[in-house]
Amino acid sequence: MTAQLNQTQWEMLSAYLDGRGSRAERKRTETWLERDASASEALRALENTRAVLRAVRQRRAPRNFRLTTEMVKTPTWFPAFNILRASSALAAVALAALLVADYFPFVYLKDAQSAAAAVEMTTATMQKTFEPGQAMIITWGGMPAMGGYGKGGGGGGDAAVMGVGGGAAEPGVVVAPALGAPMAEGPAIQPPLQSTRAAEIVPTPLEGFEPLLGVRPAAERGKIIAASAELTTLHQPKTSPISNSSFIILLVGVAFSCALAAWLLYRRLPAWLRVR
Amino acid sequence: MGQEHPYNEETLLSAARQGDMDAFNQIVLAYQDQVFNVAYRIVLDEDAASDAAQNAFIAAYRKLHFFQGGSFRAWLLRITTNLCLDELRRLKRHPVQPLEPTDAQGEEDMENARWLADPQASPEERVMQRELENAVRHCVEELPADFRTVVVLVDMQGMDYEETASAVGKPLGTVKSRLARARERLQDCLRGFGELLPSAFRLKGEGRNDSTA
Repeated sequence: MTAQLNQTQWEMLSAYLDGRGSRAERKRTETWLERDASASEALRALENTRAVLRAVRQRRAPRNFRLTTEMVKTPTWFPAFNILRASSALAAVALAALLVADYFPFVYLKDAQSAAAAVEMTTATMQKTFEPGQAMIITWGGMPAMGGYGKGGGGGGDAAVMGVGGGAAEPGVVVAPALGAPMAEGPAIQPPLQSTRAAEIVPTPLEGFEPLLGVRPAAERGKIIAASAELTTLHQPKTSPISNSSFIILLVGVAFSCALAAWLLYRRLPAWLRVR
Repeated sequence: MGQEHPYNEETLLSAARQGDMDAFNQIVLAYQDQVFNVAYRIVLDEDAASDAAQNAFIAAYRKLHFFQGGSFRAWLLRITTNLCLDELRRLKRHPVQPLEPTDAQGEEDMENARWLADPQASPEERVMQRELENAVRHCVEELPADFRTVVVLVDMQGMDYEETASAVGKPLGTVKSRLARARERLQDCLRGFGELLPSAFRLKGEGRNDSTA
């Protein structure tokens, strides 16, 4: 009858048989063996099993395994395998970086930089268009009729600043792209606003808090105000020659092709080159 | 060919690292039986074991710069066991069917003629060895590869726990646990052979019909 031992007890007996374990563990095992006859019987059976295994004679090697120069040569195409493997890894890393840049907050850094450039451009434009002392209205956030620049207006909605000059100064209106709207890309790119007419200076009588809030008069809302002829082309969102999605597809293709080629070559490698 | 120099592993390994293949081949001769036996007990096929042993020596020669000291035997057997386990995984994915039906008894006799060619072995010893080999091979074959590797290294190759842990790349506790479970399973399996085992290895009171509860 085989003693019914649990895993821990089997391990205790196995270690005891090999003279392993601390003094305390061996003492515990000996106490257990003295008290439990079935444990003693299990130890005897275990000892017999070990004796059977040890009694099996070693086989002689069927041939001589001495090495020759030819045997230890690396295949001539092995460098190609390493290059393909490295290329697939690099392409995968570049792909991951591109995806992270596209879908995580880091991308807003790009937007902030675009917005700063837009402000700078608009300031330069305004300086060209208006004489010193002349008041002007700058509308940010775009007007509904103009459509969206790139991915659409962000910013804080219609926020406008009205500067009022003194005395007979008349405010002008300048349309600038929305803060926060990326300028470099986007499918809905508006054509540059140009006009041969002279700038229309739209007087905007002060009404309540509107000037302070920078909200345009109700009568002017929703209208497109023609820009000055001197206005150069409004800052047009740039489109990069190759969009992010094209890069991603390219990198996926490169990574997959290199990985597949490397895997096919790996299968042809001799076992001694594959082993860890 | 010159004088025979006593085997000095350190010196030979140093020379082999410098590219002296003859020095490394002396190490091959010293270890080839052991490496082949370990490979054979794991993959359970002589041809596959030969290939694994040859690849193990080639890999060891090419990666000698990774050996930083300690037990060279454990390091070499680690390469061997890794190769054998890779081969077992490959065979599992692509099982090989023999072209002709094998005659197990005839094959066993052929093998006995080769590896039991010991002029000092009596006929009784040869019979006993054949019986043992049959029983052990059958039972070891039923063990999972991880358990099989540990019991082969400890109980059949006489390695200690630390060397075995190094050879299989696992912690000492894992080796102890796997060894205990492997021995338990082997004991149950060998018990089933009963009288087929040499009498010296039969437990008292065991008969052919004795089976575990």
